[in-house]
Amino acid sequence: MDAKLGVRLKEVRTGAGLTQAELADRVSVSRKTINTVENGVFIPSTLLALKLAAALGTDVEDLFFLDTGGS
Amino acid sequence: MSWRNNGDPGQRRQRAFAVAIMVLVTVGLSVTSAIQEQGGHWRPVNIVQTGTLLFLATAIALGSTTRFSIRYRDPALNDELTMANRASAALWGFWALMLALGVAMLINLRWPLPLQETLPVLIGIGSIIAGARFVMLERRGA
Repeated sequence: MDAKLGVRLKEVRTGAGLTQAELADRVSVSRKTINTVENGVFIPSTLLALKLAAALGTDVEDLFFLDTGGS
Repeated sequence: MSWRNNGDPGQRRQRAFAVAIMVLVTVGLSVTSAIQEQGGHWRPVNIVQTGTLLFLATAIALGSTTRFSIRYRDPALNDELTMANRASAALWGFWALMLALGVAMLINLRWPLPLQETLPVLIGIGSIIAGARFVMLERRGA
């Protein structure tokens, strides 16, 4: 199975009314890191994914999913 | 956009690296041309120039591939993305150095290269590539 990491971070973050900088502060990373995760440039570690989910009050699966190309 | 008033420490770091790389290239070119003009004879100024070249190369290599700093840095500037960028920069710098070394060895078969003049340049090439790769990766999320 050839799958990529799908990211819904931006939708969840904006839904929570947070800016990239505010979310970055909450999980102690730079705004640049949030930006690159949202744009799929950088795949975060499990630890950061869990921190992001906790900061947004959601589950990791709501932020990230396996993108198998619509199959 | 004002360069002086931009408060983003990540962007300030990118600019500092870019300037340091340009200075390193300038010093490297001046060192090699000055020594060549003198037929390989070293004067005290050449030793100072070479020392500056090695110092700058070391500073760029340390800054772009490790979290070493002589002053306090915002921990967010050393987050996991930056660590990943540093690992990539170190790999590029290493292979650039290996490639430059291979080319130098091939040239040396035809025209003998003096070690003390060639080595700082090779180290400089590795540092420049590592630093440039780090700046490029850091700019992606800016």
